[in-house]
Amino acid sequence: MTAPQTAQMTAPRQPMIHLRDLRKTYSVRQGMFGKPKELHAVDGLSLEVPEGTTLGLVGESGCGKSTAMSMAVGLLRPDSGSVSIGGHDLYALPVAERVRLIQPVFQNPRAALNPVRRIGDLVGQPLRLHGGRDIARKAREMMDRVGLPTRLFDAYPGELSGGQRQRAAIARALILEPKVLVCDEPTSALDVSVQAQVLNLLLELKRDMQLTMIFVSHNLAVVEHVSDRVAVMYLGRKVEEAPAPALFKTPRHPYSRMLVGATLVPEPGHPLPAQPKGQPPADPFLAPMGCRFAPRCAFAQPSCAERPAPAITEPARSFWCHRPEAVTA
Amino acid sequence: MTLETAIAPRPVSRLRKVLRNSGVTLGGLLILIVALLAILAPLIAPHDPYAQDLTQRFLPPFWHDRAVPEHLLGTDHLGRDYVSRLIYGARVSLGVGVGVVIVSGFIGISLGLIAGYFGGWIDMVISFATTIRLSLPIVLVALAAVAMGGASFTTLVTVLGLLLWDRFAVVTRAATQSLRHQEFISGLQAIGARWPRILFLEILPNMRGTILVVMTLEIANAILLESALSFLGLGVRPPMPSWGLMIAEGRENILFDPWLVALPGAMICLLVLAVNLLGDGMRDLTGEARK
Amino acid sequence: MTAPLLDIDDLHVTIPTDRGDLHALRGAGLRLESGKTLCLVGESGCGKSLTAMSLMGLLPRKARQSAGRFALMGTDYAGKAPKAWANLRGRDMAMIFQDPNQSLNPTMTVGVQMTEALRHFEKLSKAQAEDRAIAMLDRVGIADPRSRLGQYPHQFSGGQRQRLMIASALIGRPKLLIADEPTTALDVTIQAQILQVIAELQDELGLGLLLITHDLGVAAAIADDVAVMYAGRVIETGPVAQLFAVPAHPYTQGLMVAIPVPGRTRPGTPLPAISGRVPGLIGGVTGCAFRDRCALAGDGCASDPLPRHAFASGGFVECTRPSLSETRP
Repeated sequence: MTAPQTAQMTAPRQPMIHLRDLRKTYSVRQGMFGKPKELHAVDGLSLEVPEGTTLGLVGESGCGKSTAMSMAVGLLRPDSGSVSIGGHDLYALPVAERVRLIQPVFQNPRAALNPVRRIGDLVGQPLRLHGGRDIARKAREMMDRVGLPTRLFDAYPGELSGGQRQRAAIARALILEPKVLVCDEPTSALDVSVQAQVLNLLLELKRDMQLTMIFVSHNLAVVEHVSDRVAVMYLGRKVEEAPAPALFKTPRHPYSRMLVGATLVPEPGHPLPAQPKGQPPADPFLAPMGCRFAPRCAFAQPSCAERPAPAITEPARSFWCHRPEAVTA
Repeated sequence: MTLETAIAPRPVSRLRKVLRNSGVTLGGLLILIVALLAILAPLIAPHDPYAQDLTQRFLPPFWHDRAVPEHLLGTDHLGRDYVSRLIYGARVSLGVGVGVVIVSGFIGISLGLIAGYFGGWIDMVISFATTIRLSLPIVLVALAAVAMGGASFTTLVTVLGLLLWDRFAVVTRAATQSLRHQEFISGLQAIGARWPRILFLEILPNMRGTILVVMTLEIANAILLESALSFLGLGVRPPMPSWGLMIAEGRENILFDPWLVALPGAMICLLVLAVNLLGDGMRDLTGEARK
Repeated sequence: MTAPLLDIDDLHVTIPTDRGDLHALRGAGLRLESGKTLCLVGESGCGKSLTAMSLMGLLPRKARQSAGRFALMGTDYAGKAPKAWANLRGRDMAMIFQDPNQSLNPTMTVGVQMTEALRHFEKLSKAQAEDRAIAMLDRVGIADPRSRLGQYPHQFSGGQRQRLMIASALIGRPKLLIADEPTTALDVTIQAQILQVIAELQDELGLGLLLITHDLGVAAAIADDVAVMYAGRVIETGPVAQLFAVPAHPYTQGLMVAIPVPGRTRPGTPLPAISGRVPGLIGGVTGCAFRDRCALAGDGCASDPLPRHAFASGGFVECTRPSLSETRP
């Protein structure tokens, strides 16, 4: 594929983080002597997030959003493409500088903190690794800031509730004062009442610390609540990007429509969303080289699977589809 | 299921739980006694274990008619006090056990951590080394090594240490593999922690329980091997009092003075039993039954 | 009036722990009519899964259970030997779980697992049983069911495995289906498909469905009645429309507003979160378990028994607040 997905966006400010045409391919061997197959986990993904805004990234399991975020925080090197943060090439930076630019927050607060270390120790650890001073005091301040009682300084993660653990993980990610925070499903493992607390905290921290955020989730309602813009991914590619309310109200790509349509709202009286039956999700190995959604798409024509879909740009929105007029009709 | 959220997580009394486990209590107590004997040997032993008195040879233990109160458990073929020799023998057995486990644990745990964490070809190489190690007969290799290096306490500990790391490696590797995909590892990478720190300071403390269990098993193993090798004349050298060596020396007189073999044999059994009891008990407590 | 399909009252489950008895269920009650769907909602630790376990006789061995009434189709098993109730399992009652891998045997073909119970209970021949299995697989939307009968569970995708579970559960034509978070592990588009299959089959077979979920969206989409659990008790229940329109219990109200709903909540604004956390249930609780987190709590909330207010439209709320009857019919 030669045409990268270059989003023609009218970004009001310089992007704080810019992913350019990221690609990552895994070679998967089936059985010991099987022929290795190429799995395009991320296939030419570009994202820009202006300073101080939040980009929501949605998609279902296997769409490559976690792989993409691993590359964005520098845990994984892409096969090609680049990540720049505040104008710096992330992969060219020394580790000590990289960690002050971008930090991740993970989904499972149970697994995100080493169970044998104390909370204060965990929160202060990034500073200790990078030669900070006054570590204990700063750790206490950060705990206070994320609403974690400082009496838990000497507690072990196992003694905290799920919400408290997620607060500790957030404190740890923020103690180096990074510019960008990548939240990978940060509330998926939490109960709804706790989810609200953590979302409120993230919104508050974003405002107070002028954070730029990428918020990855499969929960569209949560993404809509916290994001300025939303990008939808399907099998390694971005299929649509739009301002959050617009994406929810008028999704344009058939897959975005399917996702929005399948989201259940807590209001009775809506019928169960109609879904195409007997359509198993496409095998990522069998995904066509053209539009990858074509095998599941109600509007697809045979030609859709042959070439990559062209970008359709509208003010503040872009999506990639061969047959936009058929979809809207 | 979600029960655990309703049960507040702090364990109330860990000590009480540990003490309720009879294996840990009994095994620990016995080991403590043997360890005290070994450490305090010069203070406790009634006689010099090396002092010979050929006029006092083959005295029987106290329950015998011919027993002498001065030598509670009798004397051996050179007239050395058996109580004192048994007490000093604890030093050798425990010394070998602990020494071997320090060497083998270091090797095995390091290899296991590295193999489990990095995977790929590194894992293949280390797993292959483990397989080779498992195919070596320990006694024969030790025999060859002692023949070249000469029998001594140090040779024994080194040779056994270089041989008994396989179980450490296997267990550590498996535990590392299950931990390495936990999110806290990614978090550590994201804050710029390097691999030696992640392996030894972050992952390793998570397997304390498992490793302690393997340690007890290997200590028992090393003690038995020391006895066997000393019995064969390949372990510690006379006149050092090792239980295995004492059995070897008493063997010729087994018909007339069976206690010369029975007493050190009982000590070996007791210590190995105690170590195993402790290990099993700890395995039950930590719930990390892996072999 | 005919007896309800399932009628449980005053169900207590106590689990001994190192630190004393955990009163996991403290007098929970349920009523479910044939052909209807009751959704049991609540957060982790509230006892909703334990209720299902109790119904299926799958409680941990050391757990103690007692019930005022434990009736299926008019027969009360409360005082009877557990064996009598156990005999209903697999015939009159079946269950599906969140994780289909838990209840599918990876070493047996799908066909053998599905037909085993049929051949045992209904004394069908192998061919007859297989025909039933094929019809059932086809019904839940698995393509080419005859050839898939010979496959193993790992050859099915996550969504297909859940379909398989449904087929296995329903092949014996039970009267009651208990589903514990059946779609929580699935992607949203698959979730919609699975809920659709469950709802259709329920209609066809006249099943009573007890669906356990933490997701109010799922409850709103599929329930006839909803029961809200908190700390081992059902604190509010009612027809789905009334309960969502006028939630009466402060906890239910808190849950409803804590989740972001596109179009209803304003993006970026703080969500009203419920502060505090669920009380520990070791040693038992007197009075309302929610009172420490409740803004309206007063003196009467600490004593047992709590007043129960029944609504004319069905259902009840357990709360000391007097003004509720005016807002909800």
